[in-house]
Amino acid sequence: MKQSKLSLGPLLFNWPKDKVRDFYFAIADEAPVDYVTLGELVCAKRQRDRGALPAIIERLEKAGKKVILSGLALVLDEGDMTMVEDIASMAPDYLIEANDLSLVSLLRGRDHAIGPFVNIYNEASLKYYEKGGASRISLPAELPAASLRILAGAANTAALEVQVFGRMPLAISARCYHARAHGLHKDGCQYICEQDPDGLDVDTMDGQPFLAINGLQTLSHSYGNLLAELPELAGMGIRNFRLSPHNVDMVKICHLFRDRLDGKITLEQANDALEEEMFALDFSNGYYHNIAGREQVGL
Amino acid sequence: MTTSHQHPADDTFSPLLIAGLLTRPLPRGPLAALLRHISRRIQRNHPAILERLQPLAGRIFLIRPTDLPYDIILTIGENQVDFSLATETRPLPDADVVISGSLPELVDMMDGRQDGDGLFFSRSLTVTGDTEALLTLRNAVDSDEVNLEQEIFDLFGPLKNPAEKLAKAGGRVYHRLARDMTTLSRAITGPLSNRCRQLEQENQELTNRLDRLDKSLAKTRSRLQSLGRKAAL
Amino acid sequence: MTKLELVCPAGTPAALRVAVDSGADAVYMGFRDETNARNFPGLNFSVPELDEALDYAHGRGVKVLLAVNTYAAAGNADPWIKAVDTAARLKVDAIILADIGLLDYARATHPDLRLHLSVQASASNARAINHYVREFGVRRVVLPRVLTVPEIRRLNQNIDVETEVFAFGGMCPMAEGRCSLSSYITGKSPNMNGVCSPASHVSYIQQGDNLKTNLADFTINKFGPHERAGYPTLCKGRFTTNDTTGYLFEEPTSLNVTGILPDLIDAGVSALKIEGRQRSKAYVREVVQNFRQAIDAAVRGERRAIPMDNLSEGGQDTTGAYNRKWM
Repeated sequence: MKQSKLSLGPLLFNWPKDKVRDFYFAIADEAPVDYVTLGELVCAKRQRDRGALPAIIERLEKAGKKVILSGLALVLDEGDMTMVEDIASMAPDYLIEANDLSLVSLLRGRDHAIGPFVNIYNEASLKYYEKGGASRISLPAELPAASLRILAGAANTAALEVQVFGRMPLAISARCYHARAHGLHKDGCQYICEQDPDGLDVDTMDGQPFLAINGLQTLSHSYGNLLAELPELAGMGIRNFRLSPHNVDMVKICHLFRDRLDGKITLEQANDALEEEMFALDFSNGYYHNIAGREQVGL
Repeated sequence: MTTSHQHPADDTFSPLLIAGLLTRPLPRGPLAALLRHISRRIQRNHPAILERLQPLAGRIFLIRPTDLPYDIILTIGENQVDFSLATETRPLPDADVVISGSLPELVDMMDGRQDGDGLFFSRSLTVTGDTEALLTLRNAVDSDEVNLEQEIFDLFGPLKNPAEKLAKAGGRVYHRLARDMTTLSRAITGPLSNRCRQLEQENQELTNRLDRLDKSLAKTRSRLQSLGRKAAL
Repeated sequence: MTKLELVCPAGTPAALRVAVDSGADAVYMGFRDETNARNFPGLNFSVPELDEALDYAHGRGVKVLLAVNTYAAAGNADPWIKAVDTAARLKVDAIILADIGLLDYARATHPDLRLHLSVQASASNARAINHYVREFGVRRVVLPRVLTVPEIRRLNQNIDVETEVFAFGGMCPMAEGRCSLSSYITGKSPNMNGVCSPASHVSYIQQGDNLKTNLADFTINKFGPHERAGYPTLCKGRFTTNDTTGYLFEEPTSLNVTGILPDLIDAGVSALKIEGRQRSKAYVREVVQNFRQAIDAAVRGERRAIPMDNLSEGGQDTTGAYNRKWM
């Protein structure tokens, strides 16, 4: 698994500007990742990257990391579209990851990446995006191992990527649930999502942990963890593994995944290290095993 | 975010109770014959329904008309359905699904005159058990034009037309009676229901407190389970 | 003024006849398998049933649209390919697709087959829509339920294709075709299995006069003695965040646009879709008749809101995302 590449997915949460900058500087300087995807995916209203982005990109590139820029997942009005067009205009200099067909259409015919919010469930759609110039494709969260294996076998020119760590993105809406949970409207949201750097937990009326919300986005309650499945994924020919940023020691988490890929630590050691960092949190790998995504198999 | 509260209606003194009393003398024999007739008619005239019911072979539905003193058992077999009356001598089978509602509403639903979901949402209909089996039955019955009312009249042969008229009038009377009885019951039970409402409020507060306790308990338990699992590693 | 096409659900052959007889301009349905997004037990059409349905509907001047709107499974696209081929052979008036691989196949193999883009493709802006039009010759786009009426108007000015919008029925608060909530909780998803919050995982628990609705043992809602209930669709329950409990994602409510029909016509919409292939004929009859009236009234320049509370979950209507207040 040594030739496998690690990538840091886009930051899904609305962290304060300084925290974002410090986070990426630490990633640039200390995390053993090959790719870092930047950009706002969830909500066009968020301002966190404005201004700091050039410095972050420079620091990451200086550290030898390849920067990918990601577009919005849900594109509705002119403001959203302007954001999409701005990102597309950076295509000659950066690899752009499309998460909506609007950006796909702007990038088609050129080298680009496809994010997990574009639906690719089968070989025919994989081929369609490959034909259009996609060189990296990050697959949707709900695909089971059987589908991943077939897609990996069918991929020709695109490098496939699977998220192996972090809360799974489950849904996106025009409605802001963070605002709604605080009795606010999306248009007067007070950027309330900033209060929850890892998302806001959603429980059932009987206190069962259920989901998490992050502005317009709904995430899994549990944190995806495919440490145990890495060898099988590599065996299928999947060489790119995405870690989704969370409010934990991500540098440490990047290291433990890298060490595991390099065979420097055992699965048990890797899981122990992960547990040590995130003892109070729940993990799951159900989607991979073709059962409910929330379930944990083999622990 | 809004939380909806609705005051319970006061018609606990149900018109269906009275209707049940009225239908109590209905003899078992003819009713059982009617159910056998309906089973045969569905088998003969609605093969499409039977085909859609195939995944349910072996399932038992218990239909409890709240205004009849009898329960009806529906058994799905290979290419057949069997409606029968539950009797004292025959113990009730372990049903996969139990459906309760007033007879006119159940018949209207079977005949596609009333929307089953609507009845369920409005709480006129109660269902427990295997929800998927129930949904399959509902969709299968709805996939063809069943007319139970007509089937019942057909059984009466030459008497058909007068019987039909009588039944239609009966239906109207029934619905009218139901409405009147609701009004009447509200009038009679008004003062009592105020007191009940107070008690209910107190009860509700206790329930809420219990719910909150339950909830923190569930959270703690889930946390403990998760920690226990991790500790066992 | 454009003539609005009324597109109605047909979960079963009987519902199709009811829809046709009640004033539908078009009916839509799916095959009895995972190729359509209402893959519910006891529902949908066999190939001979579709054939008969075509005769019945065409004989009365009503169009038939076939939904093949789930995503083909990796390594097993046969059922989806077969559905597209059968639709072409039987000459349905249009096929409703979401999967880009299937669109590609249908365009190449059956160039004369009219293609509609399903709401499950979640094409929410002019660029995305124009992409589907340019690449696959899509003739109509069903818009996701995330756009306001002014947004729909602007959209229609920037695209050259018919738009169809949802008019009545269950509301997805999430962008359709991009939601995995159901598979996270139950293992079955709209995109892969054609189901959301499947009945196989639902239980109704009667606690005295109270009703608790569960999905895969998760409490989705609790209802008091006479409170109107709803199906435990997992985004329509009451949940807790911090210390507040309520309808976080969406109330159990039904979309109903009868009151804003003139605005939708004015925004350039071509067709109205009634949701509810999983609902009964009684539902289809009442909704279709009411919409026939409302559309005919709107064409005469009248605005007539028709409440249909008895059919909706929670007994409430909403205009959903069409009004920005909803967001």
